[in-house]
Amino acid sequence: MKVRIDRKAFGDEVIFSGVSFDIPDGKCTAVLGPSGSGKTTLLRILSGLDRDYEGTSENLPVRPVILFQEDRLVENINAISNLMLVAKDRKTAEEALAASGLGEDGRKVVRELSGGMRRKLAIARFLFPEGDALFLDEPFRALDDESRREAAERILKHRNGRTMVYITHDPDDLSILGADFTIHLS
Amino acid sequence: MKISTLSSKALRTAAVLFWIAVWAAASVLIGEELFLPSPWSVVMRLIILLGEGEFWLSSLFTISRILLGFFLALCTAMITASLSAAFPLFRILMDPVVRIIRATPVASIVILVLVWISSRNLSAVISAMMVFPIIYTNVLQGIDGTDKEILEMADVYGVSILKRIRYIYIPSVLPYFLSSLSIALGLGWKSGIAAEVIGLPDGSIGERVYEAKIYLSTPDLFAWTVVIIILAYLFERVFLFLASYSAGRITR
Repeated sequence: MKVRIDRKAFGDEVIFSGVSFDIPDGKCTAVLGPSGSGKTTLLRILSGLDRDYEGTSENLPVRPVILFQEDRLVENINAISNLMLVAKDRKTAEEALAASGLGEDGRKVVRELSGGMRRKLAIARFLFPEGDALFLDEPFRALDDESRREAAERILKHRNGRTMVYITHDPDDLSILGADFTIHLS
Repeated sequence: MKISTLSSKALRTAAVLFWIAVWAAASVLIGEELFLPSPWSVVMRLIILLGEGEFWLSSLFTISRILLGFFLALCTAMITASLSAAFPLFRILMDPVVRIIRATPVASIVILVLVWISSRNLSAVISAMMVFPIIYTNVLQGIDGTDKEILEMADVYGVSILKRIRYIYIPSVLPYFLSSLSIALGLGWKSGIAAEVIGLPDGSIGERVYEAKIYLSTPDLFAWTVVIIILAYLFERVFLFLASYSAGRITR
């Protein structure tokens, strides 16, 4: 993936100006930087979700799979129904729920789940689609250390050699997910 | 101050009893059943009506028409609201229709509809016309209000249209739909009965209400009004329960 951004702005606020990014295929790249440095914007541009900028791009993924920073769960249905959005049947959804450590809470409506449970559910849903590149925005937000390790293990297993780009501001994430390359935004 | 569920129920019952007492006191003060019958004479009249076969036939006639109109409006409103959400041109086309129906007085629509159809089915058409804009507007608002971030996620994850409807759109529309259902049912009943009072279809509640008025039988008028209120309340409870239950089953 190659992206050259001549200018990317939200109103008067310029996020990127005259920068280019080269993401090697099949490798894991971590994007680091403080809040407001444009990490999420970059992820959206690399995944092809945001095309509203001046510049060029090459070889962007056709079917990107994104773990969004926000959980993006349907609040007034239960956890299993949220997985049914992407699962082929109920059995698969229930298995994924159990694997994510949410088995008992699967019948609960999402708005009754804690922040950590919601993130686990979002990760479980992220692991369903078979895309050609994985993008993760603050993947372990709201998770405790043990849950982070478990989630990282499942994500790395699911990655299976595909290109992966993730955003974090936590150095611990680097040690558990690893990275072939890092991009530092300031 | 917090009011527990039990004391809240007791307070609500007390409020109803209070107004019945006010009604009884006003009736005693006026002292003329023709102007304001007592609650007691209305209840007695109601008991007599319940024993008459004609009462049940009239109720069945009106209930069947109003429900027919309600279901027609419900289906049409849901289909057209979905089409309006999907096709901006269709939405523009529907807009004047909905505005005109909403702004036109029930009486004008009744007279106009009586020119086209027989009075037998008048209440069905009128309640349908009154219910349609409420359900249409609310369902459309629910679809429009669907979280854009969830829809973006569905695009990225390649979620099929059927699953979007079942797990994203229905949960999003449901709160709007339920609140509109309550208002629409109430309006459907009121406009349906008003249409019957104007069009006087044989064997309808509207005709019985009109007869009570011309024969100056005020207790009958009150008794029929109580029947209409009870029917409207019962249907509202049943429909709200059925709607929430079905939506719960679909999105499970």
